Amino acid sequence: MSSTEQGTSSAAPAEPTTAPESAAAPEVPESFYYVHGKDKVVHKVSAGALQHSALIHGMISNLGYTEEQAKANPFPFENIDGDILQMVVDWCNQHKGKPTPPEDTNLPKQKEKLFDLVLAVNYLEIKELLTYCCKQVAMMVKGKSPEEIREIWMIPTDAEDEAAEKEAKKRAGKEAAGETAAAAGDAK
Amino acid sequence: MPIRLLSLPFDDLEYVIDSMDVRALIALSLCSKQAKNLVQNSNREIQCLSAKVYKNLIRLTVYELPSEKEYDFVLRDDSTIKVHLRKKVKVWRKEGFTQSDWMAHFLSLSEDSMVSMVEIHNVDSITYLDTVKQMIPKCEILEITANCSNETTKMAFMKLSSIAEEKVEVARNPSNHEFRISEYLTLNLRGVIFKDYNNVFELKLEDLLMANVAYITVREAKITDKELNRFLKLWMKGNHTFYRPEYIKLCTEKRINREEVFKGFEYARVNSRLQLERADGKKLFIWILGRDAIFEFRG
Repeated sequence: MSSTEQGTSSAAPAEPTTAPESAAAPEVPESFYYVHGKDKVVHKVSAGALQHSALIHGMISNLGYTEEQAKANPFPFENIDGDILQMVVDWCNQHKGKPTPPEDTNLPKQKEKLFDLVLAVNYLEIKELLTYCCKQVAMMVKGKSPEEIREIWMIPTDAEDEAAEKEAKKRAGKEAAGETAAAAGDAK
Repeated sequence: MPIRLLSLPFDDLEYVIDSMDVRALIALSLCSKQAKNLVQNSNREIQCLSAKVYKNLIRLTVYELPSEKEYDFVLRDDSTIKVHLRKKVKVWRKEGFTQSDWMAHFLSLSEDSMVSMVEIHNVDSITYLDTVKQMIPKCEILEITANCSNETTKMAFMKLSSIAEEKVEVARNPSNHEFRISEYLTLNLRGVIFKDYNNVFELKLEDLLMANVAYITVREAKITDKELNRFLKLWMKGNHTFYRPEYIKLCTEKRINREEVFKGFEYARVNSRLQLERADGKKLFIWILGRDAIFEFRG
């Protein structure tokens, strides 16, 4: 795991890298935050990179953490796999402070992870990355037949949908009957 | 590795749908009822631009806004359609689907549930035209092309002209000594264009008097100046009677003699047009130049 700019990843928060000196003006130190996914691996990411995520940006604005507090309290995203979070962090670092191009060639190509990536990006509210991911999902079925699409996107047939609906109704009926019986028992 | 599309949050699903090309979108709509609903409820604007009817097949061109891209599908009667990709042709199959089911499916996905233009080419059997009428209950323009046989032209006009909301174009004159296609001008239609440059459409006074079509163009028409003069006289006398045509354009085979046509009339000159006015206040503007005559009925 690696991040291309300020972000690094490790089991514990890493020290920030030294920023290059600027001859024109004194460098304003950049603030860093820490996030971790399901695997508890902490990723150090600059505030600039995190601005892509409306969710994290909102959290940062509301919390007003100092560097030390941020280090001690990484943002936990238990619903996101570690490798998926890594992809997101990498993307945010690569696009830090840059306008996002209409086509993103840096987008991860791992199709098997695309679904999880879409869910994670949706949760983190990274609009541009979500757009790219959804385009990638759409590209998966270009030129494909209905049967091929059904297979790639796991779309149930009408018969399967009907069976699932029946099953759901049955289950709901059973639950309702159970609740009624419980209520009758309570009344006694 | 598969991806469970329908489990995606709605916004993401919408993004995916918005990023798909129309062919893939149509393929998705064929996967299940749920998938079809998804496509129907999306923001994508699909239109059925044209349906070319030939043999016992329909070549449907689907058009998408705002990309203005066109996609071709050949609807067959064996549960399959041929899909034209850039360099190859693919066959999609849906068990139990007839040609009518395919057409109904495409129409259900289109914005206005209609085909803009239906072109009739030669068909295998005249009875197939009845099937076409059932499959495509309405369109804007119906074109009966020049490569139809006389019989097909005649029957296509008879059977299908009522599906055209705007106009019917007939590119072949199937008239003979027993039958004149111009007799069909009595049908209740909005617009008819007869256009056969090789075989003139013979028009009689009764054809013009009995016409029940709002907009008529005949190219090339055969009608005498005398008959046009009689037509104007009868129109002038027909006070308080309803006359459906609003516009008649005749491109005749010979130069029209204006003096002969207006013989016995007092007319006013309005710009480049001549105007006749009936006692009931209805006006007729006439423009004659060379072999062309245009009649515009107002009021």
